[in-house]
Amino acid sequence: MSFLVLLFLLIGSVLFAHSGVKDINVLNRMKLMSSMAEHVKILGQMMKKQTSFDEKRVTETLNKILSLSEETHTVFKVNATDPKSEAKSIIWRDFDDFIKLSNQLSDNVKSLTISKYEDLRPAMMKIGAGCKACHKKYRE
Amino acid sequence: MYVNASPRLIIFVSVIIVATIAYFFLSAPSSFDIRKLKLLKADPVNGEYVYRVAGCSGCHLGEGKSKKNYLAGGQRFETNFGTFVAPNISNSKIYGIGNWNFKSFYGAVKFGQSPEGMHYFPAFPYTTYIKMTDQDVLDLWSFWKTLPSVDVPSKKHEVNFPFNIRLNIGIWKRLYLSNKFVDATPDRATYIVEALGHCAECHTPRDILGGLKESKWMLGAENPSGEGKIPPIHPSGLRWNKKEIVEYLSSGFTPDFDVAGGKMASIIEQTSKLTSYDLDLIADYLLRLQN
Repeated sequence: MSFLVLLFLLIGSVLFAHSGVKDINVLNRMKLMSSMAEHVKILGQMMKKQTSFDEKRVTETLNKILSLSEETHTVFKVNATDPKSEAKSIIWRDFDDFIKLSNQLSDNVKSLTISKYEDLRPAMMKIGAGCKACHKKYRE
Repeated sequence: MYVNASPRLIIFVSVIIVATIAYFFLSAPSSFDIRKLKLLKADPVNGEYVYRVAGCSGCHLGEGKSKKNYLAGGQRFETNFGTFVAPNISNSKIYGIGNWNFKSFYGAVKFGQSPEGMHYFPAFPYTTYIKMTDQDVLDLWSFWKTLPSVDVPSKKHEVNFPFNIRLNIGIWKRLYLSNKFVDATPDRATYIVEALGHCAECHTPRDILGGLKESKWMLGAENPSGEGKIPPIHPSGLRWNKKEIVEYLSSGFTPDFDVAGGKMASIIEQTSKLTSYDLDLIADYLLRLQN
């Protein structure tokens, strides 16, 4: 029974995480950011030893984070807003700098080599630094 | 010449005179004596650590500047009272505080007043720094003198009437400026959070005059800029354990591996440099608010 409740809650969370957001541009960028967080979480859970270290999965996850970071400036191209959006309007006034910062995350990810558990924390710090650099200026 | 004034007029004029004297008396800057501090020995290494915990660069770093300790100011803070613009507090002798001595610095940090006795707006959190130890203020000053000079003029605050009248802040201070801790049994954890870290300045709601509502300590607040809400860091709202709080303050990662944004991202840049002992203390303090 508790499993079913959990399952419903999970489905509900996925379906309604961005409910109420009508603008397709806002929705797309929120989805991209959620996907980014989900993939960073996979590495984070390994780092916290909540899941076991799996080099193949690490590589797949890093590739996904890289492709998401390279896609970031594309989904933010259109200046659209929604009350649920956490994007600051300065993004579109300073779009070249926004691209530069989103590329910084791609560069950080490209430079990573994770072949053993001990590599995870420094790698996560580098990914986090890439995210923070952009969030600091462009996210509420 | 004899003037036949009515008793009502005499009372009215007397009330005005008494009220004016009371206003100037109550709004006057504090007097303080730093002679006793001459016995203390300054430690710039500790001063640098105090600088990190107190988050000075979080507000005063030049907008968009990643250059270390570039305290040119310019960041804007929108509030219900108007927009405050962080001033240049670098060692520039023209635009910053390069001509100050320790007494000027002490008066600014602990009592929120300029060397000339002008009240600073409480957007500068001297309401918490007043609880800072004299040793830490002295150490901070000794570190401050090693910081670079940046010759960039400060911008004017855009504060609405009557909040732009500095004398009124003297009266405000009588209501809200206190060196007493909210925590009934203060220890180093209290000191870091309430005196240096000034977490409550954003995470506690304010009353109509801009004072912190201690009855709602760390329960989250309206975002003064009008967008979104500043989240609670009281355990009733923030259901993170000690490890999760420490992780967030060290790396910026939430338990769900989201990453801090906005002003909090600047704060994490400083907290990530704190000792693990002090990060543990911050987490301990927040978790014990439940009791």
